[in-house]
Amino acid sequence: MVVIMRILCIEDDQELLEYVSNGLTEIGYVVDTAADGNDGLFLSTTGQYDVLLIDRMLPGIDGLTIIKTLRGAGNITPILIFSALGEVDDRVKGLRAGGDDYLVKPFAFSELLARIEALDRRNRKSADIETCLTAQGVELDLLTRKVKSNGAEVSLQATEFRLLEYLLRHKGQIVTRTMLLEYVWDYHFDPQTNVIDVHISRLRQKIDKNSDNQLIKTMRGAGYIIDDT
Amino acid sequence: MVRATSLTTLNGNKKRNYRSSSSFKVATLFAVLLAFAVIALSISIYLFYQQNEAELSQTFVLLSAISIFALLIMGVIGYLISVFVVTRINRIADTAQDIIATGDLTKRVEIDSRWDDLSFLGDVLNEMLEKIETLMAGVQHITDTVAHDLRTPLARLRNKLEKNTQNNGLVGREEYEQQASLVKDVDSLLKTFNALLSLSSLESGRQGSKFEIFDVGKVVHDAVDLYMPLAEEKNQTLTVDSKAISYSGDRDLFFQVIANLLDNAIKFTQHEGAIKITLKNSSNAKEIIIQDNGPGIPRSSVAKAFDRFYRDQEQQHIEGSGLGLSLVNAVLKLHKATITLEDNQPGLKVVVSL
Repeated sequence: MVVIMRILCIEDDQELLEYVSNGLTEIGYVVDTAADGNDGLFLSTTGQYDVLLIDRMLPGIDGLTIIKTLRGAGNITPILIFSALGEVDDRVKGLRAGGDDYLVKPFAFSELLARIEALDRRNRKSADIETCLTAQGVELDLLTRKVKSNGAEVSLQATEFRLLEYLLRHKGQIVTRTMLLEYVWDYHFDPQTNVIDVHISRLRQKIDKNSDNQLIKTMRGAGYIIDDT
Repeated sequence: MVRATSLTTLNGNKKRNYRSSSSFKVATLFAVLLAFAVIALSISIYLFYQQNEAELSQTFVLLSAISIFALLIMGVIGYLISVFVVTRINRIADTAQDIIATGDLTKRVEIDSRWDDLSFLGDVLNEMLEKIETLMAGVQHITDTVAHDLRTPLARLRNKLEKNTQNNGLVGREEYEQQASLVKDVDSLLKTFNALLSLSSLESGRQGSKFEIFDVGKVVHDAVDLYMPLAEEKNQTLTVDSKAISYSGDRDLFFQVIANLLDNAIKFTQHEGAIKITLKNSSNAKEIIIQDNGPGIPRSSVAKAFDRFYRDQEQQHIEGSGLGLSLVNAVLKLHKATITLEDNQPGLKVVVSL
């Protein structure tokens, strides 16, 4: 069953709103838009959406108030917050108000897409608890913390295990470097060098040893992906 | 605003007549007193030589008393004036030194009187500081605006480039590589602008209410975990002597500090070099020490190393924005911690004192 994702974007910057909505529509999502807080709150409370994109600063009712209102009413739709400046306080406030993820404007479209997909996936998956993640002959057992590639056991360090786990949990989606830093290492910061790439290449060496094809693929300019086949 | 009103009154009498100045009045008072004392003294000396018994006993004593009294008053007033002058001059010097040491242009000379010339000098200096502050804020504002306003079009450019790369699946491999490298270039530009903006938001103190208690040892451990593969790629040994240090601060920013310092150490130290991180937690010193045996920093460049965009002449071939250490410094300043760069003989020794 193909489920078309419905997204509501509440953003007062007309140019950005069009850009986001055109980009997402092109991919095949259904996108509703609202240019101020009042419309946004009305649409988000009356419509059914899979993901909400909400700007923090809005004319009328501001983004955080919308989020608090929705959460207060028991609405659990995943929310991605946009904010103008990457002030740490803003991020904390946004997440505390009930947002699920946070993106600093301006952002790369691939980063937005990756995060929307991750949020949607998280929402759909939360029902069943997985104990074993698999993809292309690679198995990762969350209980025994063992990894097998084509039947042969691969010994991974703790960080490599977490990295593979995150990529497998999001298989079929692009995962950006920033997402990896935020969720695997649990720090929000801008590395000066692409230190993540080195970790990925090490993981590849171990995991692809018994295999002909590459499990983790690089998406240029965007991030990494494990194909869902 | 108090400062603004004092400015307007100052502007009214910018060029002060020396006759209206308080120092002139005090000097005139002194001259009059001195004249009194001299005249009284000379009369008494004249009378002394006249040897007139009857006049001597009365007038002589009276005149001597007047002259001694005048001298006494002069002495007392002189002492008070010198105390007054010295404290005010010291106050001005202290403020100037403070500003030089901290770079904090919001500091002002304290003024508690209105009538004297030194207060007037203080007022004028404050006015000048105000002007400098406004000018500096203007420069800062321009930098911020440039960085901020260029970010959006850059991000748009990046997105279009990226889209192009994905759409033209049929174009030759070489063209794809070229476009991908363009995206990478724009990314590094964006990174520099972002670093500039977070630098100025750190320096203005806008950021940082997210202070919490965390373990510095854990943050160092995590940073080493992240950077270990980078060091191993260069066959460098990266060792940690970790201790738990409980500290109140912004955990993410602190991670950035350790990450930047480690990144630098790995980047500038040669293959097969050694990098060592030591944590000290004693009652009088909480320190993070990062030592390497790389080329170090020449003594003449140590002071400049924290400047924005500063890059060592001999290390130009190594990639970097020149903002890493500026960010480190800004974060540490926010945490009221200090950083020193020392000679590790050979190499660099970075000491962060919490």
